[in-house]
Amino acid sequence: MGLDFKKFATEGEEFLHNLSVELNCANDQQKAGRILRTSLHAIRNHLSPNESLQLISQFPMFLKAVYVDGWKIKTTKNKVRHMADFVKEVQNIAGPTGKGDFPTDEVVEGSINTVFMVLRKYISLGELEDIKANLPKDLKGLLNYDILI
Amino acid sequence: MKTITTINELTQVLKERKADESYLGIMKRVAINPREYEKYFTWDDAHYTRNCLIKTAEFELLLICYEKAQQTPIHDFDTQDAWVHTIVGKLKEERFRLNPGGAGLEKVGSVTIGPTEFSYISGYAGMHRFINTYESRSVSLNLYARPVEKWKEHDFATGEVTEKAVSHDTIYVLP
Repeated sequence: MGLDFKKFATEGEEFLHNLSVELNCANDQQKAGRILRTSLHAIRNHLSPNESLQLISQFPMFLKAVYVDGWKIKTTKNKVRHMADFVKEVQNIAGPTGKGDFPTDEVVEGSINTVFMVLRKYISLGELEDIKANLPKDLKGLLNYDILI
Repeated sequence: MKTITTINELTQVLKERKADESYLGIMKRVAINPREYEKYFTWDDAHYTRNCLIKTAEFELLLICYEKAQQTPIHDFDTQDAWVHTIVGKLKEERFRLNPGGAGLEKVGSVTIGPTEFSYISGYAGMHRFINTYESRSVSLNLYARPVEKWKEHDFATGEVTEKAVSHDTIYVLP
């Protein structure tokens, strides 16, 4: 089967538009893209490489690229004791825009929750539950913040 | 964002939804007194009831009424997205997948949906059922985009699938 990069781009743009609408920033798809990338990389830090591979095996091509971009595979997961530590981690991953895109705990949790809601059409329930089960105790509520996905 | 305080307002907002507003965003604006829904509730001792408030080509809004301990079959459906919001009582949603180690289904998780939460269900691999675990009646407000025309019921023990056309106990025609 040939690689249809135009199709990947079209699917990616449609996905980003849908995500920006759900994140209530339809006029700022750049922001939605930053939140998507940061959310995936933050979750990635708390999954084993094997768990990550299981997750991205279900992603469409454009999301696989976002997920693995800049990935330094480690055998140990990042450890967080409190949500506040995770919020700092998310802000660090986001870089200069971190404090603007993720100003509070609520925004971090709500954004990641929303990203995974939109991702849900690609992730089977079984895989989603595996991700939840493998998250640290203090992060288990991330994917069920106010939207139960 | 402006809150939505009446059912008529909700149906208008849904019908006039613009491309940059999400269905969930609309549902989160809903602050309708549960009493306003009461005239649309129906009850049946034998089964939960499905009461359609409005149905268009794009979406369908339902009130699902459960007597104590009533539950849906394990099912999934052909629509793209659904949001379930409990407006009276409390519901448990159980989620399933095909048993990787044998026949039938395996329960993979459950969540309790109270009045502050929204359960999101994607048509993709989303076998689930709702159980009224509350001490009395429960009611949920369900928004489907697009409307559900048929669903598949799954037998827990065997995994056998039965396709069924969706039916309603009542159909209201709200403006």
